[in-house]
Amino acid sequence: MRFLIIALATIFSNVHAQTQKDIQARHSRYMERAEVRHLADSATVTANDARPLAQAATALSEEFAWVIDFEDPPYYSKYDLVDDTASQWRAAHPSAKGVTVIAGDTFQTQFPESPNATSSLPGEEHILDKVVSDYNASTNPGRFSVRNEGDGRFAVVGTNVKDKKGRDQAVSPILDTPISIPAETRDANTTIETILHALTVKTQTKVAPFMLPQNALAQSQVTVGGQNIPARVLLLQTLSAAKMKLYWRLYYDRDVKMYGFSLLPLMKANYDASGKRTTGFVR
Amino acid sequence: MVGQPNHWGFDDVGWTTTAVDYYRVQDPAHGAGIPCGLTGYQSMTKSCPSGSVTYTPSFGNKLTATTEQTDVINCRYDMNNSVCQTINY
Repeated sequence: MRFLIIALATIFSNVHAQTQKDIQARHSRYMERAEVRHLADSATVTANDARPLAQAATALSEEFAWVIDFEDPPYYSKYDLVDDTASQWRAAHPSAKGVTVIAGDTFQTQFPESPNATSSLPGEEHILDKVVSDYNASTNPGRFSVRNEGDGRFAVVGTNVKDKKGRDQAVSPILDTPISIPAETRDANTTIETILHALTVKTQTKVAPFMLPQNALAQSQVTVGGQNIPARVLLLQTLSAAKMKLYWRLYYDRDVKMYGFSLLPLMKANYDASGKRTTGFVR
Repeated sequence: MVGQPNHWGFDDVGWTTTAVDYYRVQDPAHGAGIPCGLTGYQSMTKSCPSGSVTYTPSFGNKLTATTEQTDVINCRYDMNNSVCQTINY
């Protein structure tokens, strides 16, 4: 019996040590931002992150000043999530559930590049379709589609996750949910909070404002509302009145079963003669 | 104000309460300690007949937002002064 306990303890210890090595190795591979390389008549994007497609979308957004929204699907299975519990925290909370992170890793895509392709909306849509198609053919979590949202903006929307048996499962993007809010004139900040609250009530999944440019939004008055209108439409109507170009990131955390909604200002990468990269706001 | 050159308006610095709650609980489990926070830079311009003139330092005014266990500290630094507010939350 004592031998069995020692053997089990040894196995557990080895598994724990291997898990920590895996976590550290994965974190060390993550890139601070995706890299865009321009070749003769094409470009490549290389990303490595828990959400490599979102990272690639941000890189493309900054490279070409494109407005690209991004929405996680609601991942939940071990095929899409990996343990990310820190060893020190685990030692202090031995019986707690721990935390996970989306199991994204490296992703690379290549697309034809020409001035026409990157400066026109059809060209942008074609490139985004190619990027998302390449992602969907990779082993990274989730499957996505590109939506043309009008007004010069596109959304990369999560459409599939893996179920508990590792099979593809279609999901309905949460921002497609019809909601009702009073049609009133409010500042844009309050309007977004009102939309997200109504979405939370309707779906029984918390969708919370996370990082918002409160000053820009508070100074924009909008009249938005109606009955059974997709939350996405109401958000787009609100943002069309904002005084700066903004894109959203809707990230899902399975551990707390919550979406965090962030709005970020559109930035454009600029390179000096030495290749040094800086970014500036797109007005 | 954003979108209204040469007009003054209130502004805020800091995280939403949801983000503060989230990071306090989730960050330590992921191996990121508390306090944690961000530093951002705020560029301010005035609109002149000759064009837009930036009157903050070239890197902007530094803004910080730090989440601690029982409070949140938000600071704004300009060329001459700094001001911080600690919110018990």
